[in-house]
Amino acid sequence: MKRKFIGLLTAASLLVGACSASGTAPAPGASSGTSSGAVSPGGGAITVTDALGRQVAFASAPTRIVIAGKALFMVADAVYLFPEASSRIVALGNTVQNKLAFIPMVDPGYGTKTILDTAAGPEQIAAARPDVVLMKSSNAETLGKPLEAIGVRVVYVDFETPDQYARDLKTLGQLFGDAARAQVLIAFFQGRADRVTTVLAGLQDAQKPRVLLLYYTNKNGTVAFNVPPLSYIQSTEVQLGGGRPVWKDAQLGNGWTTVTLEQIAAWDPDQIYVVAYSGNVTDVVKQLKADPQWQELRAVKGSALYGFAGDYYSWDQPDPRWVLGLTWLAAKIHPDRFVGLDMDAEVRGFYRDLYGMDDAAYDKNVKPYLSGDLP
Amino acid sequence: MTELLAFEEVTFGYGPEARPVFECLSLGVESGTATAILGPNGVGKSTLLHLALGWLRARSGRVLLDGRPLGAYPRRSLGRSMSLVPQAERTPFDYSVLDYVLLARAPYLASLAMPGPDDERIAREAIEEVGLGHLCHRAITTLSGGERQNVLVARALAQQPRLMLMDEPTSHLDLAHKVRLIGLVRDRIARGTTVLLTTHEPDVAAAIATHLVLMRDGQICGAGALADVFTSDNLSATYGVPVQIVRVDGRQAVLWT
Amino acid sequence: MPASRRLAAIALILGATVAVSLFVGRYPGPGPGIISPDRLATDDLAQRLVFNLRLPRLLTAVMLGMSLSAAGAVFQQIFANPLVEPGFLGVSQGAAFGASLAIVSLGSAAWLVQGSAAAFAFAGLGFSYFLARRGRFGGAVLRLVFAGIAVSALFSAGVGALKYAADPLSQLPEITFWLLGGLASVTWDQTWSIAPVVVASLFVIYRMRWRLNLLSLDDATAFSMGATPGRERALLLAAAVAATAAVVSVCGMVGWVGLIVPHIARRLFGADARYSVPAALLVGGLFGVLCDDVARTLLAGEIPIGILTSLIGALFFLVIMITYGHPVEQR
Repeated sequence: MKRKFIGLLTAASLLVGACSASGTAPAPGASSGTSSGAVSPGGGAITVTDALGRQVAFASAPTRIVIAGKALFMVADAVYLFPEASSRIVALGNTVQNKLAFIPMVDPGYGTKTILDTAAGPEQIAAARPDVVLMKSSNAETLGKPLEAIGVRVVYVDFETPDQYARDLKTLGQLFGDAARAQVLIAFFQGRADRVTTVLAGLQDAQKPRVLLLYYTNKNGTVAFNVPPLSYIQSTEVQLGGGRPVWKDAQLGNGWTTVTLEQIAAWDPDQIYVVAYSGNVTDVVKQLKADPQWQELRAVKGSALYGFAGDYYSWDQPDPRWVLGLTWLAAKIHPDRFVGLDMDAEVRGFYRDLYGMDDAAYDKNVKPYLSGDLP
Repeated sequence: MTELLAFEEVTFGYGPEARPVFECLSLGVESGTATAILGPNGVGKSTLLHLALGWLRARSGRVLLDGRPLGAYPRRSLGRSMSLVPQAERTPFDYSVLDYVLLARAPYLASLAMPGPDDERIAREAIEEVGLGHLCHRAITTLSGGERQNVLVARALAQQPRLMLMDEPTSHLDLAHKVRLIGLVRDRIARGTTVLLTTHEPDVAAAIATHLVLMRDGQICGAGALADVFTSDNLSATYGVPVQIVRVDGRQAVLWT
Repeated sequence: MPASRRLAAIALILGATVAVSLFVGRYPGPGPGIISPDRLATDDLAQRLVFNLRLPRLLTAVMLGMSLSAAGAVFQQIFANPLVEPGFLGVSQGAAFGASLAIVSLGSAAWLVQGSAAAFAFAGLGFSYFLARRGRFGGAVLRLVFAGIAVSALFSAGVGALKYAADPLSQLPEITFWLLGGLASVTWDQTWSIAPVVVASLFVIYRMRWRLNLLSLDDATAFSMGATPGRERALLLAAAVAATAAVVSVCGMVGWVGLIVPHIARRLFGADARYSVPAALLVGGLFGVLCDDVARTLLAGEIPIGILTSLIGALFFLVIMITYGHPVEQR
């Protein structure tokens, strides 16, 4: 009996030793051929620098791209800013938020693509035979590492702050072999942001209203209000939009922090913006305005309680729509400085320049889904 | 006459501040004898056996085996010299009788060794000796109280000790089993094993023991050969109730009112 | 059939299951399927998948099942209580606390989460032992049990606080997934990092298995048979906790295995640890592999393995309870 056990153990260790000594995955720096049998679209070898500063080399621009990992739709929306996306993305995860999904509408080939489960593991992703997998860098340990262990190349893009947008758009430009488009996009985002900051240049602190941005959740009847940490794009939008975030000096954690009504009253903000990722934000604002406790707040008395605007996705998030969120927010915080702003034209321009949608397509596909405090 | 086990001025209490269970207690057990410690419940009889084993350590005084303190012996050596039949044992696991008795072979095995065919033979013999040979492969959880007690005795026998410590061995037994056990112990004594047992039943003491120790309130109030110590007066003083010893057909019986 | 033959049979089944599992999965898909040997010979990606992902994962699943089961067997015999689990002495909750702490505050690099989980698992054991020493009430084993309950409760409160402080969008799901267990990110690195500890600990438990029978007795009785109950118990517990902490740090919290598999092993082989411990090892390994196979194959996404171990384990256990009697093994 003892001998059998030792025998099993020995056999097992021999097997383990043999396997780990034999083929290991080619390192991302190696320039071997594409891992599937797909035909390359032509063009020479490319090197991509990703969000973690890694250099990932390809013999030619990848044609089978998979988008995976958590918090997917924001990355997917950014990837689809490139017209090549539709033909080269073969699989992606779930892009639904609040029952709406933008990608199926904008991608004519969506029906033929594999939709990965939210909890898809490396094996399921490998089944799509990708040339490269795109994901946020927070997935590096759980998803990126095992994928690289089987020789699938991984490129990390985060798209979480305005600076990262510039960086990661450049990465995608390298990946798609379309640096020109990347430049156009970077210029667009930079331009829109610059326009806001230029209009608000020279503003003193005293002229900046005290703004509170709240993320509203209602789980099983329990309502909670959360504030973002300063690192989140929501805080950046408030600051760039010429407001003073009231939560600036609070000791917050790494993510959304729940705050009580008491704390909100103590902050006594001039304006309150409510964000909701599920449910109708206009309904939420209506409820709050009817709530006697909320009616005591100065911001509510002064009619400065607003639902954050959005369409498919709320515009506050680090989705490409953040520029819309910034523009809208700045115009709301300082309406006197943005008198001539035509929000409708802004949004149409966004969808035309970024997703190639003409007016007719916009009216049909986006306009019905506008939400929040829009004129 | 050699004293196999000796207590020298032993003081013991549970915990450093507790009231001592005994103070300066001295006791000797001679080789080849059967000594019964008789006394009411709670007087510290089990404690005495645990001290004899070396499991409990005296606050002051010494416990000697063959004239040497217990601490001087390696653990396994003590295990080969002394075995314990505990008062009661319950286990939720359905070991077979044989496996259970085999545990007693531990002092004869190296630290990682497991029992071999010789150990098994000794265990089987011990099981036969207590009359449970037909139950070798039964689960102990299916045995009656009396059979269980006999398994414990078999286990203590399989340890092949020079000194057997028995803690109230007849307390859960019906008459038939009691008689049988008494017969077994007498047999063992005749073959040279020294026995130290505790009991609160005077007639059991009378049936087995050659020597008697009477205990009350942590003190020894009488010790010596059975014939000398086993008197009505002594027993009445020990138990605090009037007791009379009667001789019937050459055997002693205890009467109380 | 004598016990050693039956053990060999289970060992064979385990080996065969591991071998077959190498070929089963969701590649190439769609849906669950098998990689045929032909395909394996020609497809690069399939080869790398099998040797760099599936093989380390399978070995880790075997180690997971073996460690938790052996630890469960050790705990159940030492505490003479068949309802005890490896996570008992604050080990599981300590590991959970360590991992949550790493995810929320220290940055969730995998080695940090693993190390923190392992460190706090041992801390849990250490605190329990320390508390038990200082306790005044009850015998040695009872004091350990109480100390374990207290330490588990403290760490559990800590986990609750950390879950509250965690970011609901990124950290909380990570903590939740860790608390449910999963082997999706296991590669050779992790397998190698835990293999030495696991193999050494399981070896110690295997060699000392007969002493476990002794230790399930009352301390005084074990002492009378020449055992050093305190020290032997400490060594076995340390080995059990070391193996548990190692696998939990890589795979997350996986419950029920340590509770159920020792029962199954005892049902099949009797209570004697000489046979029930190897049985627990083998059945546990088999159980781990089967649950992990289902976790990565059944659905399009990974199923947290803790859910499967509870479900499959409970069903398995029911079947054994109903069909098997009280066999005492024949030699």
